[in-house]
Amino acid sequence: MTATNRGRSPTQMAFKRLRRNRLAMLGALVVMMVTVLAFFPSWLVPSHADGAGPYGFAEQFRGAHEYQQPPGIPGHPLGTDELGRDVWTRIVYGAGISLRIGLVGTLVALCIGLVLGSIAGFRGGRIDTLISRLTDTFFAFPSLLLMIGILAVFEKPNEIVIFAALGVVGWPGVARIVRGQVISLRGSEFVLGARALGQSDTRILIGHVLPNCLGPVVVVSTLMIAGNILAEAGLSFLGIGLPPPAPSWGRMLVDSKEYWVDMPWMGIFPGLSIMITVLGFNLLGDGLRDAFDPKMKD
Amino acid sequence: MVSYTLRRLLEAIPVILLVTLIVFLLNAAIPGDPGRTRLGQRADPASVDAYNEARGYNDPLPVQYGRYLWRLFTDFDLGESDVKAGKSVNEILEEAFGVTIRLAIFSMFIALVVGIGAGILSAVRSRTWIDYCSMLVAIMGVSMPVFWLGILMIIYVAPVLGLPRTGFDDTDAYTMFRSLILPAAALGLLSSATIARLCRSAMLDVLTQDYIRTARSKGLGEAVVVLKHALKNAAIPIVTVVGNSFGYLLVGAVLTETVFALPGLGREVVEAIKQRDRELITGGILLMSFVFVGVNLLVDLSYAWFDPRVRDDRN
Repeated sequence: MTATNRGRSPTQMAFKRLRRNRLAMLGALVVMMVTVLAFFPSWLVPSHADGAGPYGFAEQFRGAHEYQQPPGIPGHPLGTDELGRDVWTRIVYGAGISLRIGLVGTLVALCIGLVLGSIAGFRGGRIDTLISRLTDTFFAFPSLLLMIGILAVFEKPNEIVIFAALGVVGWPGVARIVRGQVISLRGSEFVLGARALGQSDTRILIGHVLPNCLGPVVVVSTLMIAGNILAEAGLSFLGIGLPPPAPSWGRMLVDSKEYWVDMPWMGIFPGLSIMITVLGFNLLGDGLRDAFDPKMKD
Repeated sequence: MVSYTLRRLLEAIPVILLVTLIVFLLNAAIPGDPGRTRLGQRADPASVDAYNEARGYNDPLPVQYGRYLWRLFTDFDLGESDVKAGKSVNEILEEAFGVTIRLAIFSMFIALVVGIGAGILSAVRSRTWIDYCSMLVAIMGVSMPVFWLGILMIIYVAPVLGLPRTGFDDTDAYTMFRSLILPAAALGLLSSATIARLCRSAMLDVLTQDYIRTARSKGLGEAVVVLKHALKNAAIPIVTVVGNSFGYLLVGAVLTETVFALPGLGREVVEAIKQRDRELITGGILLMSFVFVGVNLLVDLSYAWFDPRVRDDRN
């Protein structure tokens, strides 16, 4: 067998298709850049966004010239805000918050959704009906409002509360997809084969069925990260997300409310950061969907 | 169709009951003593307790839930605001919901016209610059937070068109239109992005079918082929996404209202959270969820109406 005609697994083929998709690669590049910002903010900016130091709160006491400066003045490429904090610094540190909430919120939803969805699909019967009704119920809430309700229960929401709220709102989407996949694989020959070998249900589910659902789950997770980043920004914008001085992008937008018209950079750059990040995940997610399910592509 | 409708209505009952249960539990979990919130920090403990006793806040939760359901289903009574003295939640929400629903319908209209228009155009002119541009704009629209588009409109569009930046004025139809146009455009344009993407792929799917070739070979004009034969058959996915977008619009309205300072339902709920007015918080969530369930039901029914196969599916 030569290298040119050796067999490829469906996953390898999917990744090959993904690599050829330029928009998806652009999305991947954006995601990588945001990840670098999120994990190594100190590579790009000298100090912490909400602390003291050359770019922090302390600056406001140093004279009025440092407040609300337009983009481009030395040391402040994107200007400063109403408290004299550097907008670029806060955006870089905000990437960490956005990405963390997007990723962990999705992971929580994945864990709940995978467990409930696969039980519903694999077992069927009464437990399936029960879980499916529960899924329907959670779909009946407008997601943002349900999150608002959950956050209302907590006096001061921290990141863990937001992770949990995103998980509660996001799991039904995962569960529905996993259930459908599991049902379609449940009767397939490799499952019958595994059963004939005397493997337990749990082992069949984890070892054989779930790995075959991976494609759609990866796609829905990538798109869910984008949705979660938007949701976190929305909650912060409503003033019920992370409390200040966390440099959340949504919070930066609402805090500069009185200055949007006269000092537009405070209203433009945080929003632009949200859009670019979410766009990156959406492009990557769309690309993954096209790659894993070529039939979906027009 | 009648039996399908009945079945769907029956299926909605457990969902609605579970929704009320979740909302009730949220209400019970929100911290704060209702009597204390209502009577103020300086009220003596005895009168706070008497207030709670009189309103049944001291009863066991299942009893409270029973009463809650009874009030809800006999006369849709959502209780009394803990903060706004003497005002019922129904009164407050009725006023606010009027603003929200107007905003949602107005933006739905914009979303439909722009979304379906762009979707059809992209499909018919597929793989031309029109297609690429509108799809690029569409994916940017999907990724853009509605409140940010609102901010951009406040900064750049309002002064150019001479429109009010924020606030709501319903003295007459014209001023109301003027105060709603920017919020509705922000919200509608973003929803149109999703509709356009789906409309495009649904239309592309249909346009390659044999009956379209037949219609063309009969000598029908391109407009008739696209609008009558293709669009009608692409309707099912489009109706679904439109129905789902209506739910998204209601949620987006919450955010849009905050940007444009509109006195809608979203703003009431957010204010209620800051003041710990639990009846108002949960009343708002429940009302929105009921609307959401209703819209989803209509979407499902219209599914069946467009495609008779759905009705016969007994799975």
